Amino acid sequence: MTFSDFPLVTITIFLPFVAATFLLTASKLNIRALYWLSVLVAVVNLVLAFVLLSPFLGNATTGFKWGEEVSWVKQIGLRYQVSVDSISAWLIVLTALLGLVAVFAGGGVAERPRYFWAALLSLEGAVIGVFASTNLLLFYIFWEVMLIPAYFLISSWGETNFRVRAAIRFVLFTLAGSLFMLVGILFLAFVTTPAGAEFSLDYLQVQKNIANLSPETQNWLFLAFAAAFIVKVPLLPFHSWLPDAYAEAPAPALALIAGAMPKTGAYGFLRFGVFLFPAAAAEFAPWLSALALGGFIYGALAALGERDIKRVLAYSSFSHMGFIALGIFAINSQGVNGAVLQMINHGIVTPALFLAAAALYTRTGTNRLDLLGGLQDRWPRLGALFLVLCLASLGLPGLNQFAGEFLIIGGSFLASPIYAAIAVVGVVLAAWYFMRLFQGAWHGPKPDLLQINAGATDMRRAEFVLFVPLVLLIVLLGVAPSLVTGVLDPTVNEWLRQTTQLALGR
Amino acid sequence: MPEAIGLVVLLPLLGFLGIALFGPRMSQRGAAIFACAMVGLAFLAAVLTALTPLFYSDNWGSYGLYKYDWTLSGTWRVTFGLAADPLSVIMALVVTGVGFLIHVYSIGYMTEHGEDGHMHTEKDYRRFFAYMNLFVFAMLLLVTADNFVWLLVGWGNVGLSSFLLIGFYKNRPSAVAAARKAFVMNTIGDVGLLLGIFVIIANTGSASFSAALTSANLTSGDGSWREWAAMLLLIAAVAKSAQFPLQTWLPDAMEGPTPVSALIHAATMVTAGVYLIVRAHPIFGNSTVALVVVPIIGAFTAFYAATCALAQTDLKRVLAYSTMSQLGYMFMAAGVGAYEAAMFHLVAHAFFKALLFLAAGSIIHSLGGEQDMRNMGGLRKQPAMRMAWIGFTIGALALSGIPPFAGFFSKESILGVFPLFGQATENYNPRGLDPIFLSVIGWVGLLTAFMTAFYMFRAYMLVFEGPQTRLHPHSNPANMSFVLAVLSVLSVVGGFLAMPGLWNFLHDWFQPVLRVFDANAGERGVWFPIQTNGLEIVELVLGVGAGVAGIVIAVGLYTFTRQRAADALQPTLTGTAEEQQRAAEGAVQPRRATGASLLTPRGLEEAEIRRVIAGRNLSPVNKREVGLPTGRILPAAKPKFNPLKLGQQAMTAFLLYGWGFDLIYKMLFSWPGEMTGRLIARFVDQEAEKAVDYGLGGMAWEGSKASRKTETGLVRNYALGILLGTVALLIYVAVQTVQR
Repeated sequence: MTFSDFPLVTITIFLPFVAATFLLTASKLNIRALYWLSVLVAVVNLVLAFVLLSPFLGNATTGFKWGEEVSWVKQIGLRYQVSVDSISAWLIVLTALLGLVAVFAGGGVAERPRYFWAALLSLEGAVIGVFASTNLLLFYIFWEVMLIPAYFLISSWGETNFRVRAAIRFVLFTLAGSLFMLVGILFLAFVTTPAGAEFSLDYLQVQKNIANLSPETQNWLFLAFAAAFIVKVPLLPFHSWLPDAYAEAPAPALALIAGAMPKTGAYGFLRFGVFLFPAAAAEFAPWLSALALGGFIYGALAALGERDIKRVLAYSSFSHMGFIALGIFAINSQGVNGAVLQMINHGIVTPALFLAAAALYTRTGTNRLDLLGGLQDRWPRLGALFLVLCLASLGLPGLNQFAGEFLIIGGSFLASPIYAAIAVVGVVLAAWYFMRLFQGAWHGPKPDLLQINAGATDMRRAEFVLFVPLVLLIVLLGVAPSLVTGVLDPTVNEWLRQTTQLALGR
Repeated sequence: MPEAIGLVVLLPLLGFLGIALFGPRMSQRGAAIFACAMVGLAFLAAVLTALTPLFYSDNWGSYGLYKYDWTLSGTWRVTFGLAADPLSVIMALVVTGVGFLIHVYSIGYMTEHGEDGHMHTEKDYRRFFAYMNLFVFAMLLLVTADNFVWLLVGWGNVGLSSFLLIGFYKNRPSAVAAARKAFVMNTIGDVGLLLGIFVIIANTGSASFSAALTSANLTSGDGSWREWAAMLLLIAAVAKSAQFPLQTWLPDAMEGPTPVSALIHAATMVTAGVYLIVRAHPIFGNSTVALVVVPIIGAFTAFYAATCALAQTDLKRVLAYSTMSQLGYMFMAAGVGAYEAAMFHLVAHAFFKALLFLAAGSIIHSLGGEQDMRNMGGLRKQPAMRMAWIGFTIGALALSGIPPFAGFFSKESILGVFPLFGQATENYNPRGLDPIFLSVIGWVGLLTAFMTAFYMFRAYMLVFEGPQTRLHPHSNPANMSFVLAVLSVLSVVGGFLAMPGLWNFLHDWFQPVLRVFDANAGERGVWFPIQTNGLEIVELVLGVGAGVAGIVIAVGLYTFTRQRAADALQPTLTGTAEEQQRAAEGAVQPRRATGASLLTPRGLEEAEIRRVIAGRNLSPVNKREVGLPTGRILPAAKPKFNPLKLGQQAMTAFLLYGWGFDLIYKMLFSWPGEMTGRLIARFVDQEAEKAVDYGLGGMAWEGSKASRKTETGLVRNYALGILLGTVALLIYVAVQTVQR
């Protein structure tokens, strides 16, 4: 058994689940010990994720590496198949990083901490499972498993009395979308399997068989899949679960819920949309680009009009996810590379912003922008952190989100200059609302803050440990995004070449 | 040594990081000296780079220094790299040289009261120098980048440091609003540049200057992309250089400390637009639209800003509008291809405008934050203000284009490009522009030169002449006076870089870069050289005459007429530092009494006289004071209807508010944007949620309620159901059978 035969992907997926099960049952153990155990598991998982990424570093490796396969339910083509290419490997690294961030930041949760960490870890495992599945039905299973911990994170640890309603709305919305995908998957199994052969939902095999379907069937199947992804990303008219869910969820959980989970939708659009149904994706690309652009602008405007810091961040996150979708539907190397890069960048910046907002909340007791102001004198370091994160998020050149923005707008420019011209409006709006957010809290006159915690200190050591690496990552990926794109580019180009070949029959 | 350019960029970055990370462990003075040292060393490194032509005699210009892949994707490969060529080096020299002087000046300036009326704390002091070093770093990155993408990185980051420094007095609402406005308007420029970069990459395959701007790329094809690229880059240039229509942020940017205004909003950052046009001149020079649009924008802005400056009462705002106007000159020149002249004026303007701002800064500083010129006066006679007086006078003369100051040579070299009587010869007009067009621009430039001299000497008269101010200036630290002296000398000798008819260092200096990037690498090229054959005597007389006339009229008006008293009754735009501070603290306090004995009629009269002399406005109506004997003067009788006077007042207000563009933009963009945002966030989305909750959820609920009713538990109901079902089935079968 060589090293590469080791079931590494499976371990990366299920280690968090095992740890979560242990946490749920270990009622007798010291709670601090359990906390450090969870952190340790998250660290180990991050290391494993980097090991998964390692074959793609440094050379132009394309296609799937690693991977395990076990037969499960033959009759419907369900096999346990997991594998990674460099796109999913990067996203798994991101998820593992966010899992670590979430568990580390979640150390201070007061109620039922064991269960909280268990939910975080199982959410991490489920998201990694989504990224690693190469069987369509398995993908669907992990997709739905994600909902369970996410539901509990919102409904049990949410911040106000509306948490259960927000959680239910979140689950119903995503479920409504993904059931279409389930139907699509099963239908796909029927129509792509030659008569008499065994049902197969293996990704690569399905990808080869797709070209035999009539364009109309492809279109309907694409739409069925898109229904699930549209809600998950979310794109414009299907976002109404998002502001409440994000406003309710506790900040550590948001590291995964806002940082990693929407990326599964974007990843789905890429892997099971553009790469699976290239012809249909190209046909619907203008419509989906319009939705993505609409969401980008709409979210930015909403963030401009919102008073609550967390909701501003929620709308900004929604807005940026639309932007990522725009890159995917450019269907060219620049757009797709930029979209994946931006998923990673957004996944670093957004959780950091939510956590910084939570750090501010613990000191002031309010999220209302109109009640805050002039805080920089009081907590200059936290203010500086906030500024850097806001700047990164609004796409200041030199910080990480600019790199993704550059490639995404570049890709959409190549697809159609009109998209790029509209997209930059959103960029200007982002500058506007982020500056409004930053200045609203940290600059300007000092209002009377009755509930302000006067004794609160500037950033504590635990906060430094949490935020400094994130800020360093933000700067590093801003100065040298080629660390990511250099690894992504060969894979993305290869996939795009293959799929356009299939689609156009060349 | 071209490699020294790396040090030029690196040192200010180290300065910023050093103060930002280890600031609390440094003493206040230590941090300032560290920051100055970093910029000073960067200047020395820039000098070292500038000596390159001594070692490499011909065609110097290195691109792709310190190169690495920034990002790659498909066919796109964007690299980081620095350029050391005449253009980047001269910009680096100006940025680090003027930057160093202003850093030294700031050591003294920032020690005392801030312009928000509060003492600068040690923390503020360090923060200031950290931001200044960040700015210098970003600006150097902008001018030394060897490709458009890293130029954009510098471009965005100078916007950021400008934001941080405009909003330096972070608790003052007007400063906060001005900072945000500047940032957002600059972001519009950033995205213009971004789109321009895509046009360039998509059509040339590269973003680097040396690969994209080759003659093959620029002359082949139908060339429509060049028009697009030029227009998109122009958006960026216009936003950064505060040209029409993105000009409104610059006057508000004066909320920052004065050294910031001198460095960022006069000498360096705002000239980035001119730099961009010169850098991308193969695109601009080969675009037929840009050759017309850029000079028109420049000429209009020069004229517009000069008219606005006529009515300003705030000393710094006069200088801000003047900067905008001078940048308009540079755009005029760069637009028609007179790149040497534009760069000449850029360098000379950096010297004398920095001098003017710093002189104004030392006046404001020693008057305890007072910026309203009407509260100044008679400062020439104050011994403490001697150096500021000399500096301001030299700066004003240079700006007015009086020989032999720097502004004379640089401004005449620009006006020389636009023959006033349409006599453009083939030599002067390589791009074949309409001579009438050029002469119209030339006349606008001449008119602007007249207004420039007028408003500068209006400011001079208000500040230095006339009755003495009530405020008591105190003397400035020695380092401030030293910097004023150095800049005064530079403002005199800076013009000797190019002496028409005698020598022209700039022509030789820029020759390599303009030739390397020239698309039609023929004999003439796309640029105007500064005319070495001597200027036409008529134009020279007109140019100097306009300046002299402006000065004479301003001096006469403020010496022999009651204009000073009339100015005192103008509406104000910005309050005093004290008022702003009060507004910042949110407290509405009754205005302080003027100090005179107010109860007697004589006291009232005295108060009025004092206010008119000192230029105090009448206090605004304060409800609490109604009925109380206060210093407020009620008009003796209803003023007569006087259309002339009303018109004059309306005109003054129109100019004071910059032709009302602020209001227009507010109505067109900022207000609708915010209102749409509120509508979405607080209404549309909430309603959509409710629709989902109560609509879909309610439908399910009602449906389940209805179907629940069938579960009655009564056997007869179920039996009825079975019966009905059976009947229905039977009918169906019967119909099927009959049809068959």
